[in-house]
Amino acid sequence: MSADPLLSVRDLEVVFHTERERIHAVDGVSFDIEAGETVGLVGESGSGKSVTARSILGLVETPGSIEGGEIRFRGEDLTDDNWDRHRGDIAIVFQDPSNSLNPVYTVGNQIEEALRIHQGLRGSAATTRAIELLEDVGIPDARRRVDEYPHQLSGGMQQRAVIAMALACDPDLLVCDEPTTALDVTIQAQILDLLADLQREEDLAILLITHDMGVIEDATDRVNVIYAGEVVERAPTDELLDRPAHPYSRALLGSIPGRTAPGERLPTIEGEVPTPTEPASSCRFAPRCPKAFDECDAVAPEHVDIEGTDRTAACLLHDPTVAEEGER
Amino acid sequence: MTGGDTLVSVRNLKTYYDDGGIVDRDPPVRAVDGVSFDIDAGETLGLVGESGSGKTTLGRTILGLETATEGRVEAEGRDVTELSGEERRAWQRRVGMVFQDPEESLNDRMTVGEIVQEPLTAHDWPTLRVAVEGGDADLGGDLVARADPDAETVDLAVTVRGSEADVTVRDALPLSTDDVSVSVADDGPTPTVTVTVTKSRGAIQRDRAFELLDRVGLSEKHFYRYPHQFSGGQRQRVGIARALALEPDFVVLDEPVSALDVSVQARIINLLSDLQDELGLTYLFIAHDLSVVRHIADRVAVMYLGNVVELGPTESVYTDPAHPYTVSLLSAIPGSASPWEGGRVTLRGTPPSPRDPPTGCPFATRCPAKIRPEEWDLPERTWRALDELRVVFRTRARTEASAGETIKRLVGLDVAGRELDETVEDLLADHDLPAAARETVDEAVAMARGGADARAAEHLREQFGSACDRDHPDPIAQGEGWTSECLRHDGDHEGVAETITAREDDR
Repeated sequence: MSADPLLSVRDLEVVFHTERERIHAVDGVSFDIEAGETVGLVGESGSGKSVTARSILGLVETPGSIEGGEIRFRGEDLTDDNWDRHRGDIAIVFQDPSNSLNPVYTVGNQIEEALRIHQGLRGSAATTRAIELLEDVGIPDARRRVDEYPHQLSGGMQQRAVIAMALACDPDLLVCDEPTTALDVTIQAQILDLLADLQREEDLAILLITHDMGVIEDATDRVNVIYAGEVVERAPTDELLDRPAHPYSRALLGSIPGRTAPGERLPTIEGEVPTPTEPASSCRFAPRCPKAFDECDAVAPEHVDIEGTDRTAACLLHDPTVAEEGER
Repeated sequence: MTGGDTLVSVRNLKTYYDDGGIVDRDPPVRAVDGVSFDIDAGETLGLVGESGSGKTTLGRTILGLETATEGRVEAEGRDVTELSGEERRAWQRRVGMVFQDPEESLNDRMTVGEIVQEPLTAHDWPTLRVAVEGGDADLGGDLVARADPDAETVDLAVTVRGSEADVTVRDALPLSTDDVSVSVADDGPTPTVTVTVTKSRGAIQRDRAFELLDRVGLSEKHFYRYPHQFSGGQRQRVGIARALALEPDFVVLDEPVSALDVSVQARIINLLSDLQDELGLTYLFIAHDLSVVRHIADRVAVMYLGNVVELGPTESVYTDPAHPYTVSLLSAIPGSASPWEGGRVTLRGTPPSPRDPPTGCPFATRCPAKIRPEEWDLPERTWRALDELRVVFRTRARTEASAGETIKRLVGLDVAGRELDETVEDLLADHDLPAAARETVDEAVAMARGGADARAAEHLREQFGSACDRDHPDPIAQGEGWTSECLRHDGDHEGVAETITAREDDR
């Protein structure tokens, strides 16, 4: 552990203010991303994963605000109003490519604009580079496609164009927020292959946000499981899938159809994901947890190391000082 | 659950969408392009395929929500695409549909109770079907009609004993025997049985709505709330309750869990299974999530570009897929849920336009196991480059030319120019093409340069194409109740899986 990680999120707190309450959408989230690796952030809707993604880019807008913690990029805290200094170093790809592209400009125009802002390229140099980028993301006949409008491209091609736009600023970190959710499975496979290729070629770090455990399994090295604004488990991907430590991770994996024999009842999680309106004073999963015991309602669990592994889980079952009561 | 009895028979069904303009140059969209299969009573038939493959249109056409262009949908010996008037309404009472997005498919200005009750009101439900036993009798009374002599369900069974009569009420109805009284008047050649229902139609409908909410895991208190007060999973429960209101025996579920989180999805899938068991429902389950379909479906139909390319028992199709498209789909499932043991077969490009489907096999343009013509002996990567080139020409032929290009074309100028040469160069530079093949490519490029992109694509197809580009494959049996439409199944060619594995290695 010599140098700082590429990105280090520490105790991030994002609060949304509504008329009646304060919603702690992201409540003390911490994780690291090293250069060139892919880290997953997996959770259900309302878990705070997209808000975390937007925070990293400085895209949280009123009524939301970052109210605590640090987002350190190469050791420098972005929340100290340093986003502009790293504007081109971090790029984001959203779920729906048609929302990320402006329908009245050609694909080429939009990439060239990014090139002008971030690289100072203009005119034919910009066009040539835009064509190269489209070729890099696997768009055939790029010389022709660069003059086309977004509606002339299929969904998969649009997402490739969005990725090309993101690459135009030559980022070190690509934040992908559900990049394949709007796409068909065969096109999803193409985009995941593309991200893997780009990572190899450009030594790009990727934060991949998704609800799909299959995508996590295929594309990530390490993964953070997020529930109601808190990271509940951090683990190397294969270890999480083989032996989830937190009861929520286990329940989430269990409810995927592919893991239960066809025709049998799927294991379910009763109840709904809570909306965190107070800072955590207990385990937020406890009301739905099959393993909960009295302590769970009294203590907000801290992350503890899981013995003999490279993992941590925020669960009292794994806390040696309280664990006796519950079984592992 | 019964098995084997056919509930719905689909035969050579086609649904085309025409833009309908008077000077319309576009050919129609062939959303469903000649499909045939049976749906058995009590089963779940899964329907998978990419977006735009025609799954939803097929489901809607079977229910009569879209007009079939050609072909038949038979139920009880009648073609339901031809029904009108009362017969059509009777068919609509027997079927239900659950939509993907519970947010958009529920009217936000209506309470959940009104939403669930709406089909009941629209169909003036109930009209109680009465069977009279114990001799001929005329029937009188509101809310009642004589039951069909061979109907399976009878709402009220009346037994006449002289001037007295007993009545029993079907259990599933929100009606007790106290709500019904029967009198017999011996006033003519045959006695008249008059049935009086003391509960109003509105009250029966409301109780039915309560019952439906209860059945899908909601409760009476939800009746008065609005959809926006509900979570996604609850809204989908409302959608299911509504679909079941008229006691259908066949339900089309169009991506019912796609918009839901996995933990909520699991609960809705379990609910659908329970309802099927309790009510003996038959499902057509449309989904793009292959793991969900594997879990819930007895049989699965795989759709591509308006065609059902493979259909068979779910486990057989998932463990030993016959059609190259099925192989590609299964191999694309991310993570360990993929049953395909080989490497991921990444399909190139996107499906062709359903306005202009390929003439031979619909999957020929992207097929990882396409039959290659014997005249040429080229490595797989070169074939793929040539395929790609043809796709480039076809794509160019489809996009509208700019005004400048059109003028240049009219005066016979080189419109594609350097840009086209570079694209061809990029695709073929590091391939060792035989002289004759190179000549064919040059001829095609010359055509494209003059603006004849479609002819250039056609030229490549003629020279480098095979049976796959000419002949539409017929369904070939792969096992009991299992068919696949691929020319490789004719016995003269290497198998699909072997070919794909060999080619992926050679790529």
